[in-house]
Amino acid sequence: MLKQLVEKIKSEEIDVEELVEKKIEEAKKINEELNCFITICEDYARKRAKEIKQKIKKGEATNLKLVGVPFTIKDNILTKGIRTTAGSRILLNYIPPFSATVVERIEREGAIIIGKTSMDEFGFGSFNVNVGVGFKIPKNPNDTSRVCGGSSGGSACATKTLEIPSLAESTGGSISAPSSFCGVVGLTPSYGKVSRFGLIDYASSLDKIGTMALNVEDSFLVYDTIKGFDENDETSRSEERDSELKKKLAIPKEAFDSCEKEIKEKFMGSLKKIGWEYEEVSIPLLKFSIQSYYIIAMAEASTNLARYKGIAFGAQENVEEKNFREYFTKIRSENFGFEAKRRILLGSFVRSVGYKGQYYYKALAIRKKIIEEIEKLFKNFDAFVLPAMPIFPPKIEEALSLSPEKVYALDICTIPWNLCGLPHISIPIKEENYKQLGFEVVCNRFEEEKLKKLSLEFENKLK
Amino acid sequence: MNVKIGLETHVTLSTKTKLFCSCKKGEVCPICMGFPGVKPRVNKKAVILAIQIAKILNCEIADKLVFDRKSYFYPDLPKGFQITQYHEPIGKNGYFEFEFKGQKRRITITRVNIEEDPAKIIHENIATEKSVLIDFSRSGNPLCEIVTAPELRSPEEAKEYLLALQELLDYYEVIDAHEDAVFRSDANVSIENGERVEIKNITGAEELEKALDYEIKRQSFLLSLGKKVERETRGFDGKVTFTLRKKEEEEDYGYIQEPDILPLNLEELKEEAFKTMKRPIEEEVERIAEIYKINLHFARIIVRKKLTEYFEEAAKYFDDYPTLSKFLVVDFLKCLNYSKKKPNETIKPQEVAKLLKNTNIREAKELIKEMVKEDKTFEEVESERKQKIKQKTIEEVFEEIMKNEKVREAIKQLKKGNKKVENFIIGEMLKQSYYKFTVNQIRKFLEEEIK
Repeated sequence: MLKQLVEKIKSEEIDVEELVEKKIEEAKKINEELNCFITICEDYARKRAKEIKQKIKKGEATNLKLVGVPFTIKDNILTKGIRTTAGSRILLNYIPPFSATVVERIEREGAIIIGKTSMDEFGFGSFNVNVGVGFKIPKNPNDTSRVCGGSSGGSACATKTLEIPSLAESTGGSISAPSSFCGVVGLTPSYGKVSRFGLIDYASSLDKIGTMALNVEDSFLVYDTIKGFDENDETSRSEERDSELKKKLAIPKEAFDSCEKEIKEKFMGSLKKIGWEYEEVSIPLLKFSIQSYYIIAMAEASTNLARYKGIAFGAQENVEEKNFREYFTKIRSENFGFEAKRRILLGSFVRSVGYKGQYYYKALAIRKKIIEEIEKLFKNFDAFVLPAMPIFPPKIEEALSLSPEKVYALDICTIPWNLCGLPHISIPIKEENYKQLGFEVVCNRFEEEKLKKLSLEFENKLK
Repeated sequence: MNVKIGLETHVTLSTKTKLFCSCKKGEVCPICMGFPGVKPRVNKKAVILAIQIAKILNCEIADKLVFDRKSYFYPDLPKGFQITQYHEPIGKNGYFEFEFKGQKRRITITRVNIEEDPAKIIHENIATEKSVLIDFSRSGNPLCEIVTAPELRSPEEAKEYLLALQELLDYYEVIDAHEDAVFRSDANVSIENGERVEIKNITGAEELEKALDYEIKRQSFLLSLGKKVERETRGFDGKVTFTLRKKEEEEDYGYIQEPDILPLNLEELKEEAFKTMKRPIEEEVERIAEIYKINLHFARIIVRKKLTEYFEEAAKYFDDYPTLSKFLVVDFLKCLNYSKKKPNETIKPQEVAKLLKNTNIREAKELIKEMVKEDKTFEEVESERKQKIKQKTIEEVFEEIMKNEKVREAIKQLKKGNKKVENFIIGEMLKQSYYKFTVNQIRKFLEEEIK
């Protein structure tokens, strides 16, 4: 538990410099095999550890909640002075001049960043195989021939192997998916609950920063330090909601039905262990959530990525092209990966004149409808529960050979909640081999407190 | 000839800071440079000013503030998109009235929206032809776009519209009065039997008239040759318009709702905008005309030319208000225009009051020129004048007083032998020469003069 670790660091039972040194060495070692880091910032981490040690000695760390805790950060979250690439060659050498609000908040509590984790380029993937040009695919720590899930794959892999928390990010399932595949706890808060200032945008109306940790308590400890309004992100807020505990759960039929048989069985076994009353609920609109999500996400992504054109940002080259357009095209063609290009093209298409009504507006309307529908359903139960992924982690080559429609369809267990901005958590169902599975709990928007209560209890029963 | 002109005019709002960050105008920061990871923060003052513009232009004002992303690839957009309002402009369906050739014209304002200024591309003064400079200091300035229906009928009328609009918005202090902040317009122009042509980015009213003049001539010429006017977007280089894009190359801006800014209920901001807005121009005109009992025409000019405060301050020291108002409107304003100064950039109102109190109107008209031009107080110009006059010969003094009609009449009388007027003339000579000459010297001079 992080709490105990922090106490030991504060009381100097554990030497923070030694701890950080040990984690750096481990990180370097596992990275050779698993590729879970894009950058290991060892000098920065050592310097921070020294500072924190001084603070502890001076008695300035007494009230800090994360003193000396080594952290990893997904590489689309800005870290001042530490290279931040979002997994893309177009930002290969980008060193941000400021940190994301979430980074500032954990550092204020004494956290020590040791590295930036691998991801699908800009978050564009479910398996972390859509890495940027020249980047390596991270591997599943339980079976290195398999994927670790995406897009926050590096974070899940590092959390599992180094046993330290991570700040990750989800747009459509990028926290739950790798948490499920690697066997860690992944918490995705409500949209707006955590500031996105300093997050390299994928789809602004869907992006959420969350946490990965070894257990539920740690997840919420980290979450509590990063949550709440930030004046630098006008979509952020401190709102909290609570509702009466009904001790009743719901299985969303349309998502559950698309899971593999073995997944279903494992999940139902776990649900029995929990022992709460449950019912199956059908939400026919759920089958449109994937289309709605991908249209909105790609439309927004194609605008968010427009800044990388080799002028102020993005790789720069000597200009030999005749005009701006040719120059932009050259830079973008050479530096974006295949999936990024696909999403930029599709995203530009669905918002273009003549097609906008058919795609973009329809997708927005569907999102609104699904949100209304689900909001109503929450009157009858506390949470949706379902497997976090419909499959077990596939082999890397297998994942690479899947068609995009197939890959997108596999997001059915995570996309509805991400589309609606609902808080959810993936808790590992204990497994021996690569067949890891997350037990996903979804609560109503801003009901993080209830989610915490439920997941602490469920985690206990699933042990 | 049947000409239809519609204008989209961009004005810079009179805020201290930019639209989505806390930079002062002219500064840059990660937000207005579009660094990865930054998010916009709406400048409430800009929204208030835009609401005021919508109100001034008699628009329906939106209930919600919603922004959109307008995407196009050009180096002037740091983010690759511009945050603007497309679907729900802050104001729509308004109108603007102005006078043109003695007639009242009412032009429909179809929409008023808020948007951020792109960076400025600088093509001049570059060592090699291959490069341009991008000035990001303008990027993110708060703009208001004012769009008319195609109801303007001539280049001259378009120019007058723009001048009147500028004067009105200037009066309400909602736009940046800074010299760089000139009105930039895109003009749509079509003539009978021709397609609509858009001319982009025309600076100011004079240029607008020139560009439209040229374009209309070009279009008429094409039609007279039996050729077609094609729908296209053109640029203007100060002399001629030229093709930028043909219709089939038109940009598709792929608008989507700006996801980084949640729609904001405008109720509170509207209330504040209305509360802090300057009194409508006609009310202000009536108010000062009534309080000071001055001519409505002068009152209107005083208000429109932003002289109200100046007038009211001077009126504290000089209570012949009709004279004061006429003097300010006719003489003082001329001097300001000549020196390109604003009322707060020249002599204090008390000085004008002193001037009118201590000199006759003819002298005042002369002295005000120097006071405004050189920023001199009344005492300064008065003592200099005395100094100059003391160096004058008696002939020069006589010449000076002869500018006065009454004196000329008196001289005529004197020549006829009417000795009664002599004392009046002597008195004028004494005053004009500041008693440099004795009565005897003057009498002697007059005898010689009327012989």
